[in-house]
Amino acid sequence: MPTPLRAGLVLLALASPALAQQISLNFGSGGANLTTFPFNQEDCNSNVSYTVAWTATGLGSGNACSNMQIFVTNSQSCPSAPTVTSTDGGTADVIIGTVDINTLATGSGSVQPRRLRDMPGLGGSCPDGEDVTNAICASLPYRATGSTDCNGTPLGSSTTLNLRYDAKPPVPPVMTLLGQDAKIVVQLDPQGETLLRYEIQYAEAPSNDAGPIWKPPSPLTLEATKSSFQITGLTNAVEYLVRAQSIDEVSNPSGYNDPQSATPQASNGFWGEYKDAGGHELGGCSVADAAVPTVFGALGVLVALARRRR
Amino acid sequence: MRGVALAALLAASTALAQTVVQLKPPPPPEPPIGFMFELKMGTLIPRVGDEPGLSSNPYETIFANKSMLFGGGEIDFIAWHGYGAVSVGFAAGYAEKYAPAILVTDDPTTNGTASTEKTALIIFPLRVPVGYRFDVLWTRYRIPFVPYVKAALLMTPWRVTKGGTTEVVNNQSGAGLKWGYGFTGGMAFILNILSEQMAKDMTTDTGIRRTYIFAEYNYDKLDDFGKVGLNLSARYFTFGLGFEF
Repeated sequence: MPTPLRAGLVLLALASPALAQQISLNFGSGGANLTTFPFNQEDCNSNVSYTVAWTATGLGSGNACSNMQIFVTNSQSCPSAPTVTSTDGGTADVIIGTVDINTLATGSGSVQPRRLRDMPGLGGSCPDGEDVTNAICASLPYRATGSTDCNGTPLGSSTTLNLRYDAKPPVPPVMTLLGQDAKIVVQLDPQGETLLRYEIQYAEAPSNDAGPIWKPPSPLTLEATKSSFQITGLTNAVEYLVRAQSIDEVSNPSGYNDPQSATPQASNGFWGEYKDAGGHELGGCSVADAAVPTVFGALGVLVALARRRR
Repeated sequence: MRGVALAALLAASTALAQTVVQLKPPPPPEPPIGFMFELKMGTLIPRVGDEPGLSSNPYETIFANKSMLFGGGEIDFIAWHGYGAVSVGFAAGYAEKYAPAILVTDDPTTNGTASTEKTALIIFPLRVPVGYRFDVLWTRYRIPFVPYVKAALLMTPWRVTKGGTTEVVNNQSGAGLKWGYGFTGGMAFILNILSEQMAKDMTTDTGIRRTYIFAEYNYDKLDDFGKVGLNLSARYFTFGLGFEF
């Protein structure tokens, strides 16, 4: 066997078992594709829980040294093993599941549901205005390929899951208004955070000290993937106030921004200018109906000639 | 002795070469029928102001009389090929022009100024042309120029938008269909002359017998055959690339 081919086979043989040993975590049914589980203060106070499912490949009594631990750490990344006692005034990691070697060999499973508020960054409370992210990790002492002891770095999860407690309101959007013909175009610019939607309200500018009457009562909504919204059906030459707020991905509202004013103004496009200049055109399909069959007849002749050629 | 043999061999080779030249087949005759496909573009200004009774030219007011960009394609069937070629075809195109709408207010300082809204005139010119191409210069004398003329029936759907939707004034929608007729005169330059071998290969591989570029002048009368209304007539040049197969 040629030397390069032999070397390649050896490398392949060494690499394959290493690639085969793997642990991965996900949020179980309903969130298997999520890597971050965001929740708001209401979810926290309502004791909403989450479930973590695991899968293990190439692991069992032959190479696992002890039980696999699944834990939540007060950080956005995973350590190699859970910290059971708190250090530096921090919070100890919370072990949410232990998988014994025999169960590990079955390849998959899930841990008992856990309350979101019990993640170490919250410590059982649901504080105002906080934005805390914790990572969900796995740790398994194991004998790596080619090793006979368990002193190496424990095997961790190939995917890092995050729990994100978000009680911090987003920043209101930056807003620009364009007064157009019987409408106002509202252009919104998000400020930093990932948003779910915007909510928009408008009112006629009050002529006295009474506050504006905002409408509609249920705000107009605009998906955050879009940045422009048209408020239509307005009266030209009347001043309107418009305000908007951002709603983040866990439905925290930013609160409305300072209202801005705009005045719809009548305008002429080409058609309006044409009619104002005395144009006689009425639009629609006009005379020369005889030309219609002529055109289609000519097309028919063309097609027939083409077929005859074949 | 060796010199005599060499001379004899040379003479024989020359004679052989002459024989080969004499055996080269003549170019194949032009097929009696075929197709042409053309892609073209140009700019045009519709003669909206030609409509009788207008107090001003709205195209000039809104679009400052700037040209619309036109692009289109045409396919023709060569129905007869003798002394020149007669064809009938179908062409479709698209042209548009965008500009700000203008404000209409009681305030003299803002009245007539540009709005933040855009307005557009969009047309879809369709035509059924009958043409005559004087390609004898090329087929008989290998002069790579083909003058041609066409007469066409025109049908042009049109639409005016403001703020992205069809503009409506007094419940009249700014969209419709205009009919008319047109004449075209042009000149094609046969690109086969630049590389005869490449042209032959293309014929063998794709069936395209000629490739040409062309320039033409269009006289379009698009006013519903003289009816008073929106006049989309235009006189303009187009340029393009064509294939005959």
